[in-house]
Amino acid sequence: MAAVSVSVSGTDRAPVRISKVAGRYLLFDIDDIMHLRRHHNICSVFVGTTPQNPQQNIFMGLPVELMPEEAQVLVDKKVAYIFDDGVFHPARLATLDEPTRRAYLQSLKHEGKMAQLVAEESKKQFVPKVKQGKKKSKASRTEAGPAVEDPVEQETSTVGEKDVEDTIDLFDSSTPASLTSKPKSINNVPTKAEPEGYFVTPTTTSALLLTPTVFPHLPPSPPAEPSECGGLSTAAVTPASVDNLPASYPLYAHLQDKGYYMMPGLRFGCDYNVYPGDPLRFHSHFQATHVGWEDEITMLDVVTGGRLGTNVKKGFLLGGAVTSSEPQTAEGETAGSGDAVRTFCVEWAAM
Amino acid sequence: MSVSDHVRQLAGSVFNNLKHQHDWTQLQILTHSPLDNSPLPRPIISGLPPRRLYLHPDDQIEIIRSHRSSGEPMEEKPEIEWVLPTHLAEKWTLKSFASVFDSLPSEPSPTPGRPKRIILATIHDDSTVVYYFMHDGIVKPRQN
Amino acid sequence: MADTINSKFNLPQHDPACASASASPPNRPEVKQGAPKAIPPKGRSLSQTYALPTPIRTYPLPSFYPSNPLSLFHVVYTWVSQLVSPPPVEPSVVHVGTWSPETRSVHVHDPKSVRALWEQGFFGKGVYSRSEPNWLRREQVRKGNHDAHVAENFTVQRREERKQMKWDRARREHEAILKTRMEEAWVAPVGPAELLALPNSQKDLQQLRLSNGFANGGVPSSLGHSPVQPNGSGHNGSGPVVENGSRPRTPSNGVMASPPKSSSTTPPPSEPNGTVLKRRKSVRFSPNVESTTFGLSDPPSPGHGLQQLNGKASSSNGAVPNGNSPLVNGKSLSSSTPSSSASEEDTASQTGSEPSTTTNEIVDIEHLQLTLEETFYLVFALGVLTVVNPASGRAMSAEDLFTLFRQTSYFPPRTVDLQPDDPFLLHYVVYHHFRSLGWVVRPGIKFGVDWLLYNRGPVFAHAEFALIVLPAYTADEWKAAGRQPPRRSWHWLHSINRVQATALKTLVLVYVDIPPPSEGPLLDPAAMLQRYHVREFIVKRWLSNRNRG
Repeated sequence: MAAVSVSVSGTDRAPVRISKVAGRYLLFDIDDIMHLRRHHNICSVFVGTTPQNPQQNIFMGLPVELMPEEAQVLVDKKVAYIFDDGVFHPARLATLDEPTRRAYLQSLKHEGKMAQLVAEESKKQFVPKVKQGKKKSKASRTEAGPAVEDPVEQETSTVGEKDVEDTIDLFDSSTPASLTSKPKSINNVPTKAEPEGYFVTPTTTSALLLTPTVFPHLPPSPPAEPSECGGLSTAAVTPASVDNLPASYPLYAHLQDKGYYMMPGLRFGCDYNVYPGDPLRFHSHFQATHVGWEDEITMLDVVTGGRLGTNVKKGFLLGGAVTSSEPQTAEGETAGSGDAVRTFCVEWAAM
Repeated sequence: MSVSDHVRQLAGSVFNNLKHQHDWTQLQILTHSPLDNSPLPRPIISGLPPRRLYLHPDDQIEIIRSHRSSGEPMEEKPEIEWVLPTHLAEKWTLKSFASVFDSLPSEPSPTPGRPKRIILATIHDDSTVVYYFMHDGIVKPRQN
Repeated sequence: MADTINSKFNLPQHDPACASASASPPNRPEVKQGAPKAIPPKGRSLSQTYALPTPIRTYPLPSFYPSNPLSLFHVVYTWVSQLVSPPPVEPSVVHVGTWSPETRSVHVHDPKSVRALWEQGFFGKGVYSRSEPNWLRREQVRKGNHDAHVAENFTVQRREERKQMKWDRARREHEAILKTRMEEAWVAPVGPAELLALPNSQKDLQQLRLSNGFANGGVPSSLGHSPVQPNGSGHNGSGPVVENGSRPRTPSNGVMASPPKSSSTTPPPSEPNGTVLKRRKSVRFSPNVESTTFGLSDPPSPGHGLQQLNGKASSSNGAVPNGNSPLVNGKSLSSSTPSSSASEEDTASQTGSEPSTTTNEIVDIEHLQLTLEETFYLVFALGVLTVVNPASGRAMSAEDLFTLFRQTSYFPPRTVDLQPDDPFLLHYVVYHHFRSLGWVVRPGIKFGVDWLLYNRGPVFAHAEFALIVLPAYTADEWKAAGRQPPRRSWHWLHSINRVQATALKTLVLVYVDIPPPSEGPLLDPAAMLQRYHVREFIVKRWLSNRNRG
């Protein structure tokens, strides 16, 4: 597991880069995700479909989408910074000098090549099983010469070649269209030698942050400091507060500070599903619902929450930030941000 | 009738329910703190249930550790509980719950060292009372 | 069920829209001829006992089947016989209830009325019972005078069984966790010290396992049964389980005085030898423990752990300071224990004495309690109940009750500023609506909803539907005023729906269209209720994976 190596440098790790895309906070680097899960009890939801199996939504892949609360907590703890990819990307591309640009493209190509190699590897294992009995001869022919028969593969490889020749703008919006409308007439390009690599759409702009010399060593790792990327960063790095922070943030920060793992709880009728440890190892302990300090609580809702919690062997947790100048009790807990949060747990009394 | 009258009548209803339906003993309605005699924000009923109502999961583990082999049922001794009578039509806030907890003395608590707990008794006009434990803070749930 | 009401006696068509048809029930003197006995005789089946869906008898004409000409004679015969000797005017029995402002409800004390209202439509609730008023029977069963089955006792028994099951399960889970921990704590012995500490023979290994079983459990060998005395053997502290060695242990010199504590938080007192002095200290902290010294040969007693725990819990005088609880068997030690703040419980024990235990004859102290909605339905729609004001001793009219109930439905009650969406009106409209459609409607607080709908009644089957009542301000006046219903979040809906799903009930959102506040004279109840409309929506979670095909 890569996590083992990460755990060594758990404390002095560079801040994690959170990509803000269309108002959502996304993590694309699996090392970052494992680091946050291991050391900052953050394990949010995978939202990407797996390319191998895009028609199901039970097992999801990268990226991970953080709740705004999680992003805010990480920023507050200074273990992450938020990067507005939409702002940064075009600005950075415009300032690239020629060698940097070439190196960047080279890195994308390299990534594509790796992807193709992996894909072919798995295809070699996969094809005989499926086509067994149907066309044995074809299978052997494929093995003999790697002459590409899959039209998709051909297309991508030729496109990749063309890209290198023309060095077109990778981020021109017309690129996908030209990809699909590529005429089949160029199919006779010999592709026997080296796999040219898939055309890879970069998911994140993190590669653009790197110095050219680092490019070939993939995958890229985030920079040590957000300030490294110079004047650009000031525009792209979102300052300390997340804009769409829900009202329940104080409760989240409080529980997070106590070391609990939180998952979104809408499906379970609460704000957060609270786990005492990694959700892969533990059942959740609480269904936490945020209530404002002087918001009216209907007793029927307390009954519902308590009953629901007992049904699924969880506690129903009500909590919120103390807003006025209330005297704090001895147990008055203090969240990481300094706001006092009071919580109450409700369980069925079995009477 | 003032609000406090209603609240007191509420406590009386819950008191009777505990006594006759649930066979509690040593029942008493407290309107003032037993420590410093300051008035409580709401009347609290203290009483002894016929059997133990709450066992913290950690205590349960301790008991299991202390005798691992015996298969016979565990004898459970009841503890004095505090009951907060409420009405279904009422509206509460975190603030009001907090004031109730803060008014309770921490010393003669059913569980010293653990967050305070009360039993929230919510009564409906048809005399149904539902009882829920409420803990002042994060207390891990029992495996019900 | 609602069909049977369809009689020729012009009984109210229980719809809010035409509820005025029967607005004023007769206020006749109380007659109780046909009321069933207070306790249903044995041998009657449920459907016999609960034959009537309402406290009103109906005399419908038999059906006429064109294919069977003889049925016409049956119809004619019934009609003629009822014409010649008409059945008693319904409602033949008018029950009496007493308004109780303290409990915001109406109490019915007469046992016959209690049974009648319960058996004919499941109105009300026994004030000390779960639903059916059977406190007296429960007490009789407890005294051994009665061998009937009482639902509450079944519940107690079931919970006892469940409790035992939970203990067993907790023990199994605990052992599973210990096992996992042991597996995870295993680190291959690589260093020289660890290698040296490895057991030398199979016999050593077995002994080590045995001792680990106890040590990991966190009991500082209090039972004295561990075959390996931890201090005696050389391989202490470096077994396969890492945790093992680091645990502080009390030397076992035959006396074990400290209660088991979780080692992480409070290490056991490390007195080198458990002297008399130490024992006295532990006695002071645990007044309810019979004896805290155990010989090596003492068997583990079943109540041992809990008593010690309770002793620990009551160290600051929490649990039972008086020591006179029936379950406490603290004999000599508890009496010498200073109970510092026992004043509260002293008075409590005096007030809490059961009055009924002194006499052999049990006096039925239970009454039937009717909610505001049930009362008003019985008074206003069916006319089978009269409510007496305890202050004046006189019966109250439906109009009086209407206003009184609207005021009372606020908490705390208010006498001014009654709104068309006050809680009583809102809930009564829904109650009346579904009662009129033949459902048995009962409060749903236990399931976190406003009402539960039973097909025939709670004794026959569980409730099928759970109602949440929501006001809808659809009138133009409300819209102009910008009136909004209380805001509900999505997770509120989810939580309610999940509760109902686990209880196998279907959630119904009932929207009540609130009419605009009416100027002018106060309307009578029938005219007022006519202005409300009820819309129902069933809510069910839809899961794409489970709802295919």
